[in-house]
Amino acid sequence: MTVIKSGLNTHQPASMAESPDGVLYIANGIDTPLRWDAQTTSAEVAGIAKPASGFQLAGTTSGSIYGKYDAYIRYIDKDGQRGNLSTLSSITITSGAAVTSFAYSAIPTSSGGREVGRELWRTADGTSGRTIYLDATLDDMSTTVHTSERTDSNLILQTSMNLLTSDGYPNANRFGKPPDHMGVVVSYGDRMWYGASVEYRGGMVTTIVGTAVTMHGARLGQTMVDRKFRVAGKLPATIASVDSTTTMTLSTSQATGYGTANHHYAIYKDEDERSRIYFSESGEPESFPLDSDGNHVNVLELQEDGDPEITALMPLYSYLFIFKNRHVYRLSTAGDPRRDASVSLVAERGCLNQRCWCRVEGTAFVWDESGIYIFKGSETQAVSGPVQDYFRGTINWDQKKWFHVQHSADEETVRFFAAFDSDTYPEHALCFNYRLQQWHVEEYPFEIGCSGLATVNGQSRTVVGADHTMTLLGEGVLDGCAESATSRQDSLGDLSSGQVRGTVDSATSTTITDDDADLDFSAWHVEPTDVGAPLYIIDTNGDWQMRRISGISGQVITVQSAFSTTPSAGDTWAIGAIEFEAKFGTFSYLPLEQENVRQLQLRYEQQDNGSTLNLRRYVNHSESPETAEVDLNREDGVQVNAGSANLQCDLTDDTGHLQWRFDDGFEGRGPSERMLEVELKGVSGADKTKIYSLDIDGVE
Amino acid sequence: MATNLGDFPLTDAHLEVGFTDEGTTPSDPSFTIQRLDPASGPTTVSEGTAFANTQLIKAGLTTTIIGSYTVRLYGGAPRVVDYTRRFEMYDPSGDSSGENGAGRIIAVQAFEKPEVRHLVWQTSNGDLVVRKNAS
Repeated sequence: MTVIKSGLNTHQPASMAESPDGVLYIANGIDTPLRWDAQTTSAEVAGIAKPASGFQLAGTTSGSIYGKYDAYIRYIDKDGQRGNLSTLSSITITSGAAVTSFAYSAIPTSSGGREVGRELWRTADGTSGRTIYLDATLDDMSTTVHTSERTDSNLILQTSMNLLTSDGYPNANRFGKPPDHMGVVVSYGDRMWYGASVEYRGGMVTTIVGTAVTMHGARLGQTMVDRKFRVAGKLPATIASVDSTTTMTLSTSQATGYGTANHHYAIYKDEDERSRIYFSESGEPESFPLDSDGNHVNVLELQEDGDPEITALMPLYSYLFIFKNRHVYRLSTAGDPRRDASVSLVAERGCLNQRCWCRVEGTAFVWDESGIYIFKGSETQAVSGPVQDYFRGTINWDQKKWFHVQHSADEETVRFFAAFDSDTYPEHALCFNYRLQQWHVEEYPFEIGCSGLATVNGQSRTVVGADHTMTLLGEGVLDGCAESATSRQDSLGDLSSGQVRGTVDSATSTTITDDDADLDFSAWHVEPTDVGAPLYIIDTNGDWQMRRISGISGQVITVQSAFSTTPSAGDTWAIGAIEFEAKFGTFSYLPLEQENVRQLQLRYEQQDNGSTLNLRRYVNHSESPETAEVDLNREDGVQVNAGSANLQCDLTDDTGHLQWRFDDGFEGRGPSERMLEVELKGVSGADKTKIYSLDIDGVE
Repeated sequence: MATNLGDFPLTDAHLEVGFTDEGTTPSDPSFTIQRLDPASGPTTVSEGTAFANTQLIKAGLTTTIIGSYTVRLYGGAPRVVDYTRRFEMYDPSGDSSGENGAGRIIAVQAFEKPEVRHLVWQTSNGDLVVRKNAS
């Protein structure tokens, strides 16, 4: 691993996009946008700086050159990318004082960026304000003087450049830097596009005294100078200076009066910026023209619709779709957006953030405040009806900036990662199998901060950021640890060291001990302690609790937080196990008991190693499962303890088949149990749990 | 005092926790921060005071160690406060002084060409990390 940049603000996730020429651009709307070309050892600031100062231009010795001359310098990088021109230095030489050469002096030398050289540009007599010519190139950043003896007739044979385009837009000064207040960057139509103006709200205001603001929990940066500062709903002030990561000075004191403590605030560029998108020059992903006032000119602003905030940009088909919270616009261009961009409203749905859409087989799955829908360019098809309850109460919308969506092609599934309840980062995903049109919910023992697709062994695979590691999602048999880098196996096989399941001999509130266990994972690719793999404790009734591992020493496993119930000797422990559950629909019992056997049949793949699988039965819409009245311990590996709801199934039994009869739901001549639901709950082991079928007889 | 500890904005070298006072303002309660060290168990790393008047908890942390922490707040009259909340010690605002490449991963992007397969990700301590030719 290589750290290519440190100190980024993490108020929101970075947006990354590759340009047509193969450079990765990174934006978060707070820091200066970055670029990385896969060659350099560190990410660089996107765009070439404009020289901070001008220089001096003078004529030397008597000669034949006279007239009015303007000169500029600009920086270039190793790839020939250029920056904007410096302020001009001008000289007027009369015929009576004609000179033989021009002396450039006090040429700026430092920029602090990736610039490696400078170009000197000059007008010929009569081209001032119109055309400039390349007078010299300095292949270093140290020379401060240069002498040019080019006459006008020689100069106009050099490379020329008009200051403005034919329609009056900046040409020589088209190399402005990308906007730093936009949190989304995408590539579309041979240009880079920026949108989704960021409001920074890290921490809180501690005090405001006059124009001095003190914050806590904030990280202010120099890009915030000239941005607006709004606190507690009051009219905004402008930030005059950022003095430290937690202090700044306002241009006026109009925000004074909110100086006690803990007021929420927002720092943003401008209200209008929420509806704007910026685009680069064609084929120049870092060129954003500036007018004479320093304002970007490659800007499009969407119409007012009562929904000002752009949240995402999505290239799809030959269009760029612009999402707001509740509107979708389609942008098309024939090549010059300044002249021919066409923007039209195509749907009254929206998107939560840039990471909440994904392309799937020519369509897009998009997630907005109302739910999840398929987007086909102008049509929308809502698909989240079966899971709509999650949107009304379970999802923590305050953290929607951390939500993300990922498509897994080989699973034919789209995962919508969301924070539930009081979570900040997603630990759940609503998962939609678009081929089967079925939903399920996944819960993870880790916070899943991001997701993406990466080519591994020649195949596109889903990777997620889980705590400290990048992890392949839905592969292997363990969570939070791996015996080898090889994935997609169905079983751990024979382990040379370490075991992932055993029996508790003794325990405390934060430890368990297995006197016979081999807990040496030092040879593993990812050890259970690396990221704190889950440890499941399964009691003799088949119920379990999970804690994350903080340490392993000898035969002792320590967990990060105390167990809710101290494990008992004889309980089963399982490292890296994966919990699963499925509760099926409600069925009605058929009325004639004698003709309709009531039973459940389960077919599974026999396992070499142990795992946990429980069957539970709910009757008459009860929220509590039925419990057993007597102990049961059958030879086919089925066991239940009196008072327990779990019919425990031993999946190592070689029959691969389980039968559970429940002909006990009658009183007198009529059924007392009329409705049935069956639940399957389990915790995996060293083998993947594979259930082939579940049949319920005697119901309709 | 009923206390809602709210969020845990963590700056470079100290912890500040905002909370709301929903009841009678007590005398300034005290609190401790303990790190759950996998090897040695809970270790107190800081003790400090929660200032009821500013509704802030402040403490200086001498080291920035990624790990699990427990904040324990002990309150005064009239009701006992013993609120424990575990949190991960990350600098939410970016801090290059931390362990390079460590922290929760909050953004990822594959950067692939026919001859290379790179994976670029951003961590919650403000690092941008590349794993070249990820496989």
